[in-house]
Amino acid sequence: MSLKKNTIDEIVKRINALEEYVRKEINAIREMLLQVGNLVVLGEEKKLNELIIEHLRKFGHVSVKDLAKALRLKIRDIKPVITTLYNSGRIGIELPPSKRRSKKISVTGNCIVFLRDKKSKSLYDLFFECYQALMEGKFHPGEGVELPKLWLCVKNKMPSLSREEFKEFILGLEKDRVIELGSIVGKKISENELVIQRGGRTFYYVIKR
Amino acid sequence: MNGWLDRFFDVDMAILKESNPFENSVVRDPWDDVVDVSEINREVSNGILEAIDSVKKMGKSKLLLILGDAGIGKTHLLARIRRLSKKNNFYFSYIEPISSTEDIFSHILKNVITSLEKDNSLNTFLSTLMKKALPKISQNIPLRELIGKYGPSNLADKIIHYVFMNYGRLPRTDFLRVLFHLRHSPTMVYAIKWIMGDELNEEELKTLGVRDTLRDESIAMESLKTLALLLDKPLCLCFDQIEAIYHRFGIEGLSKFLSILMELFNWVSNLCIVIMCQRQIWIDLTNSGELDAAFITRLKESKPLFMRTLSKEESIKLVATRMKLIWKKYKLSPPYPSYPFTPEFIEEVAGEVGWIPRDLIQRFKEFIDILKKKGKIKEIRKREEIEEAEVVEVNIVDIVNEYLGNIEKELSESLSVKEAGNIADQVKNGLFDLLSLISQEKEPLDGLKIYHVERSKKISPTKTAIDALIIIIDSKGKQHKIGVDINWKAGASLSKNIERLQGWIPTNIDYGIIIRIGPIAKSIQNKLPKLKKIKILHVANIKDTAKLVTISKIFNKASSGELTDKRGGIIAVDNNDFRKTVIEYGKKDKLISKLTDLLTKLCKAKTQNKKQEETLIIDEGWLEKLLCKHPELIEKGLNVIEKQKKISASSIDILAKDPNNKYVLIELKKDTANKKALDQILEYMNQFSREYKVNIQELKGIIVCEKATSNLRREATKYPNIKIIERIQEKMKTLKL
Repeated sequence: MSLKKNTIDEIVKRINALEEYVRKEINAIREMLLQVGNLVVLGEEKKLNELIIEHLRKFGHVSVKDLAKALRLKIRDIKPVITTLYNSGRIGIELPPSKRRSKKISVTGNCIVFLRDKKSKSLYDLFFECYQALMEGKFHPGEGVELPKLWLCVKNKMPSLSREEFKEFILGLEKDRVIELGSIVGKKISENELVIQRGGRTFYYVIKR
Repeated sequence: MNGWLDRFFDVDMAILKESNPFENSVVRDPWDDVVDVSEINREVSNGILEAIDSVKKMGKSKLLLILGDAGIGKTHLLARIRRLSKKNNFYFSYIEPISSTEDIFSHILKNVITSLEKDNSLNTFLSTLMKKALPKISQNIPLRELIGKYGPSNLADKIIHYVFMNYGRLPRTDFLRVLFHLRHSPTMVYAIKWIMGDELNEEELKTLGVRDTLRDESIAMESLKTLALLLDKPLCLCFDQIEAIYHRFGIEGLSKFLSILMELFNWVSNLCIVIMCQRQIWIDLTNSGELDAAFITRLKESKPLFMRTLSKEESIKLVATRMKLIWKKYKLSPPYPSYPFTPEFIEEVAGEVGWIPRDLIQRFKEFIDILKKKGKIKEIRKREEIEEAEVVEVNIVDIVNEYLGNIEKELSESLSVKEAGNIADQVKNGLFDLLSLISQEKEPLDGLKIYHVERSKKISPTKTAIDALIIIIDSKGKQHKIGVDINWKAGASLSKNIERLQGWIPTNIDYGIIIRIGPIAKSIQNKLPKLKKIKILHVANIKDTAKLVTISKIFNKASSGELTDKRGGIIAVDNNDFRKTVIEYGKKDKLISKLTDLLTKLCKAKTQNKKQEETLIIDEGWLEKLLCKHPELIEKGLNVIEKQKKISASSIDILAKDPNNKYVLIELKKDTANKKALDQILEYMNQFSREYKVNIQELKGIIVCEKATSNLRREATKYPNIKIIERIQEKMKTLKL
């Protein structure tokens, strides 16, 4: 009787162990799928380093923790890429305050990463710098700023920025409801002017919310 | 099935069974019954209510400017304000876009009375006044009964006595008599005619007990002032679709309209004036420098309110409120308020349509239609879970025709004689909208090229403006200037129109056309054959003109960005397909075919006559516009910077830059220019060089005129940087019109 009970206990124990093992494996597979999924969603041809650079271009200084969260990856997954990017000189790393300073940089979640080239470090800051400058002398803040003027201002300060990157950046800000876009009706726009066309409307103004 | 599943089943069935809750996405006017989400643009509606409160407390009028993009819900907001008027104790008035810049006060008065009637507020006002003035006789007796018993004039006289004792002398107390006659069936027609600005004979005026008809703007202004002072609550005057004024009358017309509003604001108390305008038009206007400085200052003080696009939460609430129409009807409890659309999905779609409420509703209308078509409701969490609506190629012609058909159908059901005055306003707008659209076409209409249409054209500084001036070029390239007046007033005013137009022929215009809506008095009918240069187009039935009212309405829609395709794309006034479709539609109207026939006859008759000296240029303003459009007529490579550029106390007609980037100051003279023109341009050059710190030697001055006096030519040779350009009319004829 007791043999039977022991055997059953053993079976339960093994099943539990197996379940735990299976769960771990499932989690690991899920994470791998997530990574793949992320890369697929964000653009098949885009590699992880490009995704990181793109994100930093938009948001300037970002902690490794937030970066991993934004890319829906684990810190350990992006750590080697960050180290490579750092070694190649494309990005810089600010270490969190610590008593001991070692010469070797080790990437942790609290490290702040940023792009070394001027281009992205300050797109967000530059954007609002230009916005504020163009807002001066306006009748009311609700008037907003003309998108073509804003583009020229930002482009002057960041020559490497492309029109498409700027548009994407603007749409990202709009999605986060940081800004809103104002449309126009029946106004003639010259071909050179940067505007956003969407759903039959022409968006010409940027208004900070 | 268990209870929960039962309920779930019911919810899905209800969506399939019920009509689409997102069906009505456009608010036509504030009297429309709308589904409102009070959180959306709450700060703007609160701003208006606060302003009204301040009027209540201080008694001083307030001016508010509301700005927002197309589809953001400006008219929707007005509908909310109208609904709140009873609760918040104020009177609401909606003022339609004006049809002329010459009778703005009369237009406002007409619209105020119409709005008060629609809301039944006129009754409330008169009853309250009665109770205050005559408490003994007015208790518990309905107003109409009282008026029937004592007579409108008698009652009004008693009120006027009370008003005089309590308010002192008011500018136009006899206007009160008209209001009482509006409530008295036998004399109501005269009262309506008075408010609509119709001519009344002496007997009719005597019956109403008024001194004069609403023949000029000062009477309308005084009546408005009297009304506002006597109202027991503030009057909220809402001016919507200001952009339609901009599209019809240009920046000058809009400036004039706004200056009239300033006058209203300064002289009439107890008002809250709400102006609604598209952000972009407003910015263009303030940047143009053509707006009255006092008006800008006043607006800066009152701080404009900007309408915002939706937030994430508001988008979800907007969808949920529409879906609630179904849940409420069937008393259902859905899994969550916006079912079957999850909040994440709504956010995604809101982002796609730029967070614009009208576009969001339109998109969800499509989604419900897709689900209904499938006959099965499923929860939608992500954008890819629902396929796009069938991509139908957007055919603007079909869309515009559909809109035109709908408006016309609606009109034919709602047109009434009572609203004749308002309809006539819209007929006027519709006719000139159509002619303006035709003037933009390259192709001539029935052999005539309508070259230019200008509304409310003041062709003589001392006289009132004609409704429109049309410049036509016939097949032989000859120009004809035709003044058009629209008349819907009875009796003597038609002869006044004739007199007025006769006074302008042949100096200012070649021919005059009066479009008469309503019957023509026999005395005038006898005169008609004797009139050679003035013709009258007679439209006997108001319903005949429904097409023109339709055009006016669609023009309003297109100028305010309300005319959209199925995907929310805006069809603007300058869209070629829009223009062509409306013209095709308008050509079918009897009035238009009659008008073009008449124009052809008149112009042909003139061509057959002996050759006359042609004077194309009517005034400097028009010359200025044409030269700004074609600066090459003055000098090749000239680039116009600004017209009427203000410097010190005067203004330069045209400021331009030449290909060498040098400033060029241009002074225009439509006729002969003498030495004074030279002194003028030298003065401008001096002032300009001082103000803009430019070396005067770097400046160029050009005098453009028809003919220069020999004295001017001789004197001008002393200044190498001043040039005279003569025979400008001849040069203008070289333009390919």
